[in-house]
Formats: sequence, structure tokens, C-alpha cells
Amino acid sequence: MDADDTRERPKPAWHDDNTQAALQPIDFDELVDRCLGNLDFVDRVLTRFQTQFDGDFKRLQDACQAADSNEVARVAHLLKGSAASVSARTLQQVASRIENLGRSAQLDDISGHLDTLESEWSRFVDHATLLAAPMPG
Amino acid sequence: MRVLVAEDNELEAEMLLHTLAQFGYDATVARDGLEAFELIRTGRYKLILSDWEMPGLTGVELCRRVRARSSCGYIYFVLLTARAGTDNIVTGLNAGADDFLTKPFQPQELYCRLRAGERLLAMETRDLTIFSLAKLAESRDPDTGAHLERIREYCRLLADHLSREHRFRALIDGDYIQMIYLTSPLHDVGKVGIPDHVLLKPGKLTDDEFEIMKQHTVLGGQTLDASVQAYPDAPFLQMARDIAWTHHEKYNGRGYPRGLAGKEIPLCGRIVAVADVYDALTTKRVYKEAFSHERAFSIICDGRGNHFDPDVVDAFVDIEGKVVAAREQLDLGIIPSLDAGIDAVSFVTS
Repeated sequence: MDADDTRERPKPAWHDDNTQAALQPIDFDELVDRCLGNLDFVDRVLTRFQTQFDGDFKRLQDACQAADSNEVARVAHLLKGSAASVSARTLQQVASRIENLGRSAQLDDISGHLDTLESEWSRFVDHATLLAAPMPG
Repeated sequence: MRVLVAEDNELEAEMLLHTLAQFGYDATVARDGLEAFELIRTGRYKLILSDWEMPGLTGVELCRRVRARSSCGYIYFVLLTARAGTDNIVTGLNAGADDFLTKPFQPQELYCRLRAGERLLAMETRDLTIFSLAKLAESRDPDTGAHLERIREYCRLLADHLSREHRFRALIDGDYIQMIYLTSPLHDVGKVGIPDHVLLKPGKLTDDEFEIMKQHTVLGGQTLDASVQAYPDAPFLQMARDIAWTHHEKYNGRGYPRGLAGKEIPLCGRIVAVADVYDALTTKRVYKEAFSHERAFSIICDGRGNHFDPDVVDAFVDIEGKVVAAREQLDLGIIPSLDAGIDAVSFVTS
């Protein structure tokens, strides 16, 4: 599809405007606004984010294993930024906590935070899949 | 307009590029601070959007480097950051950033902040245009060299010194100083209407020829009067007009073209009068050798209260050292001039 195609597409059936955005892995409305209403660009951005996350998460794991707090902070900062760009709030928050731990060189309990990041990532992927799903019927 | 985006996060860079393209900007991405600095050195970018944290060179360090280099023209620098807090804002502003954008960015806010940058850069274009006009007016006279650069620097120094006196504080502020710096080069713009046989005569002018030469004040003043009427809300045009009309008036009323006296002469005209005469005296012309600073200084002082406003002469005396230093630095090309990028008039100063 042409990335510049900006025609409206119905939101997924589960998208409830009354749902608190903070509980959703993605604030979809905000993301659409940031992409200037271009849903094809939204698709592209989410796809790129998923690809980028895989590599960043691996680097984060390696940095934690190596107890490299500077690298932990750097990669977590990148993850935080990307998550914020796609309005992935909970991922952003977890990445921010990991970044702070890296900056303060407090890596003793980092594994728990990595687990949280991974589980939030799973939620994100599930949610993104739903967003991409065609309307039933 | 071209925008340089310095952003190491590929996803964020792509989103910025998309937004900028939608708003009609031609954007280029640099993946780190060092690459950004090399691109900035090409001179192609006047608008910079830079992430704060980047490998190689942070956004703040990049901004410092940009400000530290003497470039042809201003570069509007926006820092992109998720950092909050006054301390970070102060750090960024101290480094020379013009604005901030918090991450994740909001497209409309990004657009508004870039438009603000464009407005500021447009003002610089105005300054260059004004100086270009002044240079063109001077271009027929081969003797003047960096006359305009010296004039505006002398005027700036005089106005700045006067601004520190209580009785001038209400009139002379930073805007006034900037305006006189900007518009004083237009004092002789009326010379475009003076015929060559008078303007370029290598010897003393006859009485009739001098009457023709005096008309440059009327020509320049009337031309700028028309501009003021067309654009009444442009204070720099009003000052330029006042200077063109009055820079040959004398404090004792024996000047031209209208024989204004004392405070009837706008202060800007009284300031340019001192700067213009000092520069003419200390510059070689076809009809005279350059006077020494000491001789020119003495002539200016002797004219206190007659030719020149006593307050302006007193200021001139107080800043004598700065005037001499400015002349030396401009003659050596040390003080950067706005016209460095004006190719059309480079032959005048070569």
C-alpha cells in the first residue's frame, strides 16, 4: 500500500474510546495524531518499532549480563524514546526505570525489570496485532 | 526550507522526517552529533533539530560548537529532549539553543516552533538586504573600502556608550543600538542619484558641484520617506530615513539640507555625523591622505557644540580606545561582517 495513503480506516471493534489510555499498551489516538492521520504510516511505524525492539532488547540483555551499566542506560534510553514515539506508554515507563537503574549503576535487581519489559512487550505485540486486524464480518 | 535533524534513534528520525515532509520542509538526518556538525559546516542548514543525547557529540555540545564557529548567517537551533526541569533548560539555553521541543514531539508544536525560527531567520535576510543596498550605493566610489563596516561599528559603540547614561536610557535600548548598527550604512544611499562627474571628481568640488553633492541627503531622505509611508510600522525604515536626511546637519544649525539645529536633529543623525566625519578624516581619499587618529580626534573634539552634539563627542572621547581598536580590527578583517556572504558586492571590498 502507498505510505502516503491517508484515507480513513475504521478503528478495531475492541477500540473503546472510554477505555483509560494509560492501561492500553498503545495510545492509538495519540499515535495517529503524531502520524498526522496517516494510518499507513502508523502501520509502518509500528512495524519498524517491533523490528527495532527485538535488536534493542537483545542488546539490553547482553548489557545486563555483562553488568555494563552505561550500555544498559544507553539502550534503555533508546527504547524509552522509541516507545514514547509510538505512544507505548507502559513500555516507555518500564524502559525509563531500567535507564535510571543503569545511570545509577544499580543492576542487582535488573532481571526483574527485564522480565517486566518482556511481558509488557508481549502485551504490546498482542495489542498491535489487534490494531492491524481487519474488521469482522 | 532545509532542516537538519540530528537523531540517533532511527524510528524517531523517521517520524520526524515524515512530519517535516508533510509540512513542506526538506529534511536531512544525521545519525550522530559529529555527522551533524560536518553537515552544518557545509552551510546548507539554517534550521537544526537536535536530540540531546547522541553518540559522539551530544546535542548540547553540538550547539556549543555551532555557536563557537563564526558562520555566515544565524543558525536556529532546537533541542529535542525528554529531559524536564529548569536546570536542563538553563543548560540548553546557555549552550546557545533557541528553543526546546519535548519528546515525544507533537507535530503542530514542531511546526509552530520551526515557523518561529523561520521568522527570525527572515529578519536576518532583511539585514543582509539592507546592507546590500548600502553597498551598492557605495560601489561607485572606489575609495570607501570598508567605510560602511566602520561606520556602523562606530555608531554601535557610540550608541551603546550613550545608553549607559541615565538621560538616554529611555531612548537608547538594545533595539535602538541594533537598529543604528543596521541602518547607519544607508546614510549615503542618496549618492546613487549624484552624477559621476561630481561623485568621482578627484579634486575639490566647485560651489555648484557641492550643491549637487549635498542633494544626496535629500535624495536619500525622500526615497526612504516613501518607504516609511509604505511601511509605517517598520521602525528601522524610520531611523534610516532620519539618518539619510540629517547626517550632514550641524549642531549649530549651519549644516544641510535643512539647517536643523541642536536637538531638532534626531539623535541617530547626530551619532552618524561624528562617525562619518571621523571615518572620512582617517581614510585616504582621492583628494586627501588619511589623517592620523590623533589629528582626526582633535578635529572632532574641536567641533564639540558647533558641528557636533556635545554629548556624542563626550561619548566619543570616552570610547576613544574602542574606536581605534575597531578600526584596526576591521582593517585586518578580524570583526566578522554580515556582508561576507554577499557575492554581488565582494568586488567593492577586494
